[in-house]
Amino acid sequence: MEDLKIKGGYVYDPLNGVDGDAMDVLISGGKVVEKVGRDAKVIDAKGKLVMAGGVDLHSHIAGSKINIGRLMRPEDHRKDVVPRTRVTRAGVGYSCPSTFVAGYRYAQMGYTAVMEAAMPPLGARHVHEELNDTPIIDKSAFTLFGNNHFTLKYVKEGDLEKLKAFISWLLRATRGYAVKIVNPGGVENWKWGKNVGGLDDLVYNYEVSPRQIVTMLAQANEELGLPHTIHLHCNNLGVPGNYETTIDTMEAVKGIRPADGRKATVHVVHCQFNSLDGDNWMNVKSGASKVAKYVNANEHVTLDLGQAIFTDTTTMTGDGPWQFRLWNITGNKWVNSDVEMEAGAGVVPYTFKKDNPANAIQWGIGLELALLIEDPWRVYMTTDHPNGGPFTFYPTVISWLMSRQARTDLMREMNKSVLRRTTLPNIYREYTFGEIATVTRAATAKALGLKDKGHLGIGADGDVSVYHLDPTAWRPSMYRDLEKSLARAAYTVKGGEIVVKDGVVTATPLGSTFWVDSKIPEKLEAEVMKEIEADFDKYYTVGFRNYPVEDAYLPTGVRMETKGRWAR
Amino acid sequence: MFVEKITVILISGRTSQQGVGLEVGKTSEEYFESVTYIELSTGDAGSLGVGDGDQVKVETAHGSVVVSAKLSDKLEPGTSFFPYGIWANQVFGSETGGTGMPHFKGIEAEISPSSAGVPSLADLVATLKGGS
Amino acid sequence: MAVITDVVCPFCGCLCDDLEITVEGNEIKGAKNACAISRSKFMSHGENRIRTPTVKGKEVSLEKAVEAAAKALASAKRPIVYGLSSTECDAIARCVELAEITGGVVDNTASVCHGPTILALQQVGESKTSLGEVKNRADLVIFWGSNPPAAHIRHFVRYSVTPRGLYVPEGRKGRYVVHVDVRETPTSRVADQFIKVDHGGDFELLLALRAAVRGAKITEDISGVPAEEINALAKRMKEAKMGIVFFGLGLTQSDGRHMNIDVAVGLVAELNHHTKFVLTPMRGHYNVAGANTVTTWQTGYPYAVDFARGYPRYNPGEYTAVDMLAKGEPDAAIIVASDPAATFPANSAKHLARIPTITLDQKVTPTTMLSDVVIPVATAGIEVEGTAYRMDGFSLRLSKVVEPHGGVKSDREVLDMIIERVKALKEDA
Repeated sequence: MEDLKIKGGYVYDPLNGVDGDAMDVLISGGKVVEKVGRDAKVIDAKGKLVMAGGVDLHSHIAGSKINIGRLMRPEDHRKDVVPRTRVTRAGVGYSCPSTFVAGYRYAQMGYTAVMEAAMPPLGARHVHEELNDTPIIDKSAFTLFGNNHFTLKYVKEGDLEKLKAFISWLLRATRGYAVKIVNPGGVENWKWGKNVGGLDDLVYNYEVSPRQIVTMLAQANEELGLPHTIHLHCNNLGVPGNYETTIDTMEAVKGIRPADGRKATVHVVHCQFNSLDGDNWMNVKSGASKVAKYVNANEHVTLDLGQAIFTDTTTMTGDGPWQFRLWNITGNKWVNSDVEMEAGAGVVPYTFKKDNPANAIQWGIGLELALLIEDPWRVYMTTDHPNGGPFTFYPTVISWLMSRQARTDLMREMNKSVLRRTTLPNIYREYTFGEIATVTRAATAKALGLKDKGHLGIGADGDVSVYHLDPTAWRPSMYRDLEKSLARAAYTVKGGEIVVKDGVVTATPLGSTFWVDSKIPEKLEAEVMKEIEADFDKYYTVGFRNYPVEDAYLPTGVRMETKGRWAR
Repeated sequence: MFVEKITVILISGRTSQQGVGLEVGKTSEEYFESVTYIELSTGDAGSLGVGDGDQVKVETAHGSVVVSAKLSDKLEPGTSFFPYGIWANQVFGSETGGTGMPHFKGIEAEISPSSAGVPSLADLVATLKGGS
Repeated sequence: MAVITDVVCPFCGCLCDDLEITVEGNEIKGAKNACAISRSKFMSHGENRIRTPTVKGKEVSLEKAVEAAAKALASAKRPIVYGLSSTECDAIARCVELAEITGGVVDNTASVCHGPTILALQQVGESKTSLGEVKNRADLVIFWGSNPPAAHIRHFVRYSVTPRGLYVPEGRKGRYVVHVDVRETPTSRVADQFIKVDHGGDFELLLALRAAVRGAKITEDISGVPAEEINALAKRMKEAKMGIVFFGLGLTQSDGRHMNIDVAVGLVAELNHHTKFVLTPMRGHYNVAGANTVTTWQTGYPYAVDFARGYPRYNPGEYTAVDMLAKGEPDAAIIVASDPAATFPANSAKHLARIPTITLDQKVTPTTMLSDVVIPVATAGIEVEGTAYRMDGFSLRLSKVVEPHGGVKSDREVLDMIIERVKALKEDA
């Protein structure tokens, strides 16, 4: 691959303190370097916006949930068809894009790394098969732990070391990257048609509480020194008044000592859905300012938005009881999918409407969280694709963050609830380009522990996005231009290769899949494996030796070895 | 006195023998034995004067085929079972009602005794090739 | 003599993964834990094999056969790719690509088994589960229009009737088993209760049950089933700790088709207001779920996908193989791991004899007998590794226990060769 010189663009690289300086970015051997050869290919970025490739830390792009979404929604595909080209495969888009199209469209926006946020262990092979059919972007997948039999068993026994060993084993077996928790305890109870109502409810048969599950998993996660914190979908998602549960959950993991090199002990996902105040969907109001106040005062929390978009989309979570509830609210078609011994999921189509008071409030909450939380290193831009809306709306979300006028123009068309039951109309803050680079790249890469991503320092991965936008000339009134230029990158460079030019995909290399290999002390490993195998033989319908994902499914796997703190 | 023919509701489906046979190979004797019969209730067979293993003609609006009769005391009179296969597919139609799925279960068929002989696999393939 | 353990069976949607295959030299000598059909598949996999590639009945080299196949497909205006369900996922992905580059149609055997189930799912959804949940929790198991002893032989033992589970430690005694069907079968004999429904009466019976679950009292017999039996079953369903309906082709291939499933889904959804209830289709071919899964992630649609316009379109009834062949629409066909000449109504099957048909298979079948190009391939799950999806949608790794018979290539390898040649021919043209 030839060397690359991205010449003279306005570079925003917050991890390295670069804030709009006109400079060159040099790439050789797939990495950012100090010097390139004289025959390096030159990309003229003069007058253009240059950032590291985008890093999305929470999206649903691969595996059984999104594929159920695709399967059940032919009507979603018909409005967004993607023909084959000489370089790219055919497919469909909108809220449940085919794998190929998901890869292309992220790259077209300048994103080069995306994390699949919920992988049921038994479905891990499926997730990796789809990731291998998702071109260009680097990926990882977060393994579901919060309702797993062995998690509940070791939490009940209060055996932190065995829990750590189990986490290490399951991450390795599923080739997973992080500990994902969805409605801890609630999904296990859903297997009896029930749920948990709060942090101190109990899980049937195991007699443990969500509080115990979350705190012990967080403790284990930090002692293992995993690259990312626990990735938590709180209890009571979508239930008005749930902001209290959300804050209680954050508070529950406050005292835990973080792994070396970070302050956070929890990442709370798609927080918009968990920042509702009020008693029911009729009098619901924003709880965002309360959540933001807590987050501003407590450094151990990071979160992402789960911004709502006014469009037809497809909700899909590992939260079976919530999806049942949403089916009852909407009457739309409903798929439920339980996974033996470990997880569940549900999928329900949903349309966020401007004239719906609750939806208008939800839209406001996402932006309030982004604008009221002062530290952009701890609040990340997502739509929880496709739950709040398709990821292809990221440029629109960014325009809302950067332009009060963009927000105001839209609020005029919306139900007045957004004016009365959120604080958004009174918020004047507008993100800078540096802050945008933070919440879409630098901070997400940092939170994930992906040291070579999210920045353009020497040694960083050669993942760069260049946009047709002059940040020195841009004003918030020009928000539509911003949207347009962010939607179609002038160039996306992935690993030093030009993969998008003027919004058109020009090459489709297969990116890497990161996974975590956490070493377990030998004696403990033998002991825990014996216990796991015994329960496997009794209760699973898949053999213990057929369960782990084989190497064949990770043709571009990148192993990240970690060494935790162990007491035995 | 026996009747000339009876009308039944015909359903097709899998059997374990058919599964075993097809895995040996569709040109095998096992396969032939496993799919060239229809099950008739003992009552229906009695009224036709057909014994176990006797040949019968199965005819529907879509076509006809001769196979052996297999008597079943579990089936109720008026219902007949035909294992999946190229023989059964001589009598099922290709209309799917816009679903892609033919009507493989629950169509009317006439059953009558026959001495024409059960066609071989090659015979039926030849018929397909003939396009008739 | 080597014993290979934890082998996944490549026959039905149960995908049992506890087989122990004994191999001596390159021959399979034993298949422990296998059911009768599985044993037949493993033990006879070498019998009746196609010996060599042929073009119009003449023996040719693999390259010549591939060239003939590629020419037929590249010059066709309306090619169809069909089958897919009895091979591994990489080969399935190649089938999708082949349809895409030829602007053709790709369809799989789901269209003649649980296609209607998918149509219903697209209308109303589906509450489903992995099989282990049934083993661990279900105290009420209903087989509706399905007969596992004929098609899913170890289903009762491994998943649904006899196994001891986490919350059903008594096994069989801890479950009440109901069989609903138009005829008595071996399943009826295993069940605690057999409910005989009239031909074509499933829809009405399911609807009546749903009404009863909602609180209506059924006062007349429906589809031949006494009112009190319907009311009692509705009560039993509501009172179960966890219930499941395993439904089969008795619902998808009879009158009503997808509407039967639609109302079954509605019944089960309704039950979730009272207790935990799910339903799961009894998928037949071992990887028909994989055919749907792969086709869906690549195109958005599970079967009946048309690429004539360069992007995928979906319309069962129009792009399904039975319909297309009956209308005489395709001008070339490639059949992978399937035998439509035997499994389709004759009126559809006969069109395959009129057009250039290319077939990849292990053994001689009616379809190979009427094909212009026949290419022998290795057996996935015995001679080739790969992925397969179980009836409940979870995937397992298929094993290779012996070398391919006569050194033949896999479906994937042959498809790769064809794809490469088709692309080249299209470039030239």
